[in-house]
Amino acid sequence: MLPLPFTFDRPTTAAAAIAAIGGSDDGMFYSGGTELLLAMKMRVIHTDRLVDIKGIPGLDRIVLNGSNEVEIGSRCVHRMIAKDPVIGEHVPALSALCANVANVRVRSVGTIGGNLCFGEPHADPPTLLAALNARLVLQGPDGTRSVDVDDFIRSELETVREPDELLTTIVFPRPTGPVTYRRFKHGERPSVNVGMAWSMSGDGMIKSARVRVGALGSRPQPLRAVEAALAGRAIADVRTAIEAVLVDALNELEVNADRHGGADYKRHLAGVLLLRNAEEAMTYKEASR
Amino acid sequence: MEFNMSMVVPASPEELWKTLLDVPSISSCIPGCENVEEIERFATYKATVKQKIGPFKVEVPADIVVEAMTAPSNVRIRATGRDKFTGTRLTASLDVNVTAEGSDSTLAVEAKVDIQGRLASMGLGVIKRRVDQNFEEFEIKLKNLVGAA
Ligand SMILES: Cc1cc2nc3c(=O)[nH]c(=O)nc-3n(C[C@H](O)[C@H](O)[C@H](O)COP(=O)(O)OP(=O)(O)OC[C@H]3O[C@@H](n4cnc5c(N)ncnc54)[C@H](O)[C@@H]3O)c2cc1C
Repeated sequence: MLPLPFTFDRPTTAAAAIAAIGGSDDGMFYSGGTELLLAMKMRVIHTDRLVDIKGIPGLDRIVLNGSNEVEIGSRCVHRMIAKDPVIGEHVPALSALCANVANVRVRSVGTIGGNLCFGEPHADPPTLLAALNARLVLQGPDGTRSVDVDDFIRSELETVREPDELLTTIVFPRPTGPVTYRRFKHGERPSVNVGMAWSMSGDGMIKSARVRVGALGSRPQPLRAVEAALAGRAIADVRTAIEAVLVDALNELEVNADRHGGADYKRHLAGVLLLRNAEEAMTYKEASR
Repeated sequence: MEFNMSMVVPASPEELWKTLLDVPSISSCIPGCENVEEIERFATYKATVKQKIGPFKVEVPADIVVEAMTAPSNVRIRATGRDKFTGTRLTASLDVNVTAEGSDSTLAVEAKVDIQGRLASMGLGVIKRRVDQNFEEFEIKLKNLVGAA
């Protein structure tokens, strides 16, 4: 089926792209198009104006900035992130994640920004980025604002982004401890995934931990009880600390039963993935940094 | 897909029944329901139902038929329509029952929703949760309506 008719712009600045959406009824940014074009051909999404953002320079950079933060441009495709040396050095878990997202065609044209803005619950990057405490920089007609990844996805396929706000950059502090990510999938997209990031206090002790479980509800969810149990803990005691609170923590998650499985099954999987992440994180060597 | 909901409304069955038959006000409680048109009183109606989930938009002009009505306790309704954009066919059958609950009433709705076409591929889970949300919104609006009367 062909999409319904629409006009097409290819601006060369962010400001022009934002103005083009602002001047339309229900215009949309078009990045890799891997989600958007499919949905438009199915006619479940229709728009009067597509604004292609591929011609805007500067949106596909990856750098470690002056504040010791990693910055990833929204137009970076999964394949580029997977191969990037800065990401490889500081967040290898993110390289591995992007190397395994979807299939090779989607990795070559699909962007991290498009993934986030689509708000699909069965996604990989939002979970790990939330564990990394990332924030998203949105540029709109009246300037920019930044939103924590935790607050960005409002519910299934819905984000707090206004239609004329362009996601330009994803920023997170350079990790200072082990970052681990695991997912389980039987189809194309993850059924359950778990991201975890620890910051260390030097002597084999965990200073603080961020744990996020994704794909179960409408957006990544924190496991606060596990985070609290890990804070201030010696690496050697991690397993006991997690196991003491795990069942209750998992029971608090919002879980949608769907074709990926029933709620109890998926909760169980989340626990398994979390413990495997912990095993991996425990092998982290301070000296190697 | 099948849905069962019930709620206790602070009104007698007779009062609640009156509200349910007041088509303009009851349809104002249904999220996304617009342009309600009466073709034949208590028999056939037309309406448009609009829903938005993120960038996904659905607009279904529907034909509504009252299949059976037993005052003041039961009404069965069937709505059918095609989404304007995808051609997806939607059918909803509602079995609505009002019973006394002390001085209040229980409103129970059994709904069967059938979706055939492209929208079904969006994932029935998403659609199901949207229907649940709509019922929650309906409950709040209906209670406000009854409370204000
Ligand atoms: C077959 C298949 C398998 C997949 N498997 C996985 C998987 O295993 N895990 C996973 O996480 N994901 C998976 N995906 C999703 C994939 O990651 C996304 O399709 C891709 O990253 C979207 O990027 P895009 O640039 O193509 O977005 P587009 O399709 O161009 O855009 C998607 C949405 O985001 C908006 N948008 C895009 N960029 C911006 C921006 N910079 N600012 C504001 N709005 C913007 C668009 O308007 C649109 O609404 C899969 C997709 C496919 C098709």
